[in-house]
Amino acid sequence: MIQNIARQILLVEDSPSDAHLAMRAFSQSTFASTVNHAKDGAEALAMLRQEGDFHECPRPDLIFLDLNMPRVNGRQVLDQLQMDPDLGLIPIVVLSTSTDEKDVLNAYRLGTSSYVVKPVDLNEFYRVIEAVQNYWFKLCALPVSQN
Amino acid sequence: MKIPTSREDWKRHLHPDDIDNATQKTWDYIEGRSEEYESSFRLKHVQGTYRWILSRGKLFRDDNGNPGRFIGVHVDVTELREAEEAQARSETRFRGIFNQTFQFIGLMTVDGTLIDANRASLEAAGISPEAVLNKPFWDTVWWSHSTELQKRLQQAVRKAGQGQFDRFEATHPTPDGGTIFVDFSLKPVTDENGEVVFLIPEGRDVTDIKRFEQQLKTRTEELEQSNQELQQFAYVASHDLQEPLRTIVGFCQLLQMEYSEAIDDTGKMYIETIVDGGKRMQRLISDLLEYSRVGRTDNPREYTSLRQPVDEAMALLHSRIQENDARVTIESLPEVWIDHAQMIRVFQNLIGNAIKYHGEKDPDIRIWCRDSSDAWKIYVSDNGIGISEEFFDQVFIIFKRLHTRDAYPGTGIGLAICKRIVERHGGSMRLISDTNEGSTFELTLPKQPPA
Repeated sequence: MIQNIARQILLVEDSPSDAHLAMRAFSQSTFASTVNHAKDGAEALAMLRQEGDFHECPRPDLIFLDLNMPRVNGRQVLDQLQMDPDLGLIPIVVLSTSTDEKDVLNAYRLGTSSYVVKPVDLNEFYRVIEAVQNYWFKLCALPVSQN
Repeated sequence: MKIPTSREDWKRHLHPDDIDNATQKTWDYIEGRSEEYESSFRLKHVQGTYRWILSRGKLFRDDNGNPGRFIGVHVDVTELREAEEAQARSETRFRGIFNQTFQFIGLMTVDGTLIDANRASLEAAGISPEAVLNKPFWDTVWWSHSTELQKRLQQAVRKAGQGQFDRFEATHPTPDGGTIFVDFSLKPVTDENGEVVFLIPEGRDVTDIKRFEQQLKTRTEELEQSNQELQQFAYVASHDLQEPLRTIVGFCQLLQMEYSEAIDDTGKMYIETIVDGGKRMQRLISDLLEYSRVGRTDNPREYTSLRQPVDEAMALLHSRIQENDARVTIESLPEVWIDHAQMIRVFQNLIGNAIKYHGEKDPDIRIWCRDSSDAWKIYVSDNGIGISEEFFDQVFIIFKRLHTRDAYPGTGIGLAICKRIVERHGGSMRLISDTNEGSTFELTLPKQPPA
């Protein structure tokens, strides 16, 4: 069943300015989503596992993971999630500045579901965020957690 | 020949230079100072030339010991003497060459005994002939420092004994404790029946060459490492630079979107200028990164027709070709060793430029090739605005642009990337063009891939 219901999004982004721009993009999109922002990989995993302060953190339907090359903090998140049979079901969209074939390949090897290059132009970025949500929330059927 | 019978007659016939010596020898014998009589002198022939005579004789004395009769033999040894002189001259010549050459040469018997060694080889080892002659060559000081080399030499001697030439690299110790590298060869010398009678050992000092080779190897390794580090740097730098750039452009655009009522037209223009500058910088960084990536050697080369990357470039430029009503004519193109992806980039740039820089006419682009013995020459020409000759070299400089941004967009890296790609294929690229008649680029690609 494909409905335009409010979706939970987890944004993993360590740059405050990039996070701000992303949040604006989500708020400007036609999709009603609640975005939780994790400032780094460790926080992201805590949120996903609902540990400590995050025990009430809702399970996201989609994870946006910013891989700021070359300091790839997001890698541990991908790695850890891949190993988890339940959390590993959540689709991951990698946002990256790199168009390098190797970087793309590595991201997919590590378990991402899609790799999106971040445009510099903000209008472009808004369109990208809209298109990605359109794909995952309208076109695709998402797996439902068994927990 | 008329043999002189009297002393006076004899003296008349004698060669002036030999008179004293011949006379002395005679009297030494007659007066008992020498036991035997043997003398060589020149006598004048009836034809006027001098001939060498070997004279031997015996004096018969009477009972009182007084000289009586002298019985002797004269032998014409002219040819023999001339042969000896010719041989002496030949030996001088041979010795001259043998000892003057700074290569090492020697002479060996088939069983490996050294019977001659030239001056250069003796000096290099700091030894005298007596130390090495008539010894097995492998026991001499040139070889005794290494059992492995001794064995190799013995093997070569066996081979040469069969009539086979052998050659290998060896080391010889020098008197000061150093080592020289030698390109050693052993040649058999055969007689008329094809039997091996001598062996010629020869050595060329290649120490300098080896040193240069080593230096070259080291330098190449250093360069490769440097190249790697540069690429790594370009990669890190470009990504690190993009993040603050996104912040600048992004937040300016947020201002544009969310505060447009609070900003007047001039303010809007200022912000637009910042955004524009930021985007340009982003393209520059992206191009720089691509330029540095061309240096990567990890893509495998394949032997394919150049037609393939050309076609794919055309597909990528499809919409621009349509919009500009561009016509592209492609003649048959050869098969070459190429990095497919990089070649697409080259033609994408060249065809793209041809379309971009068209003048008033619709772009008409031609691609053809010429066989140039060990390379292919590929030509891409257009009917656009052309490039004046003074700029022929400059167009390939990274980021160099000949026109303003308003006239034609672009960062100016396209041709620099093309040139770099072609050069990495072992080829070269240059421009042949006339302003107002369009540009023609010539790419040279070797038929054999570079090592």
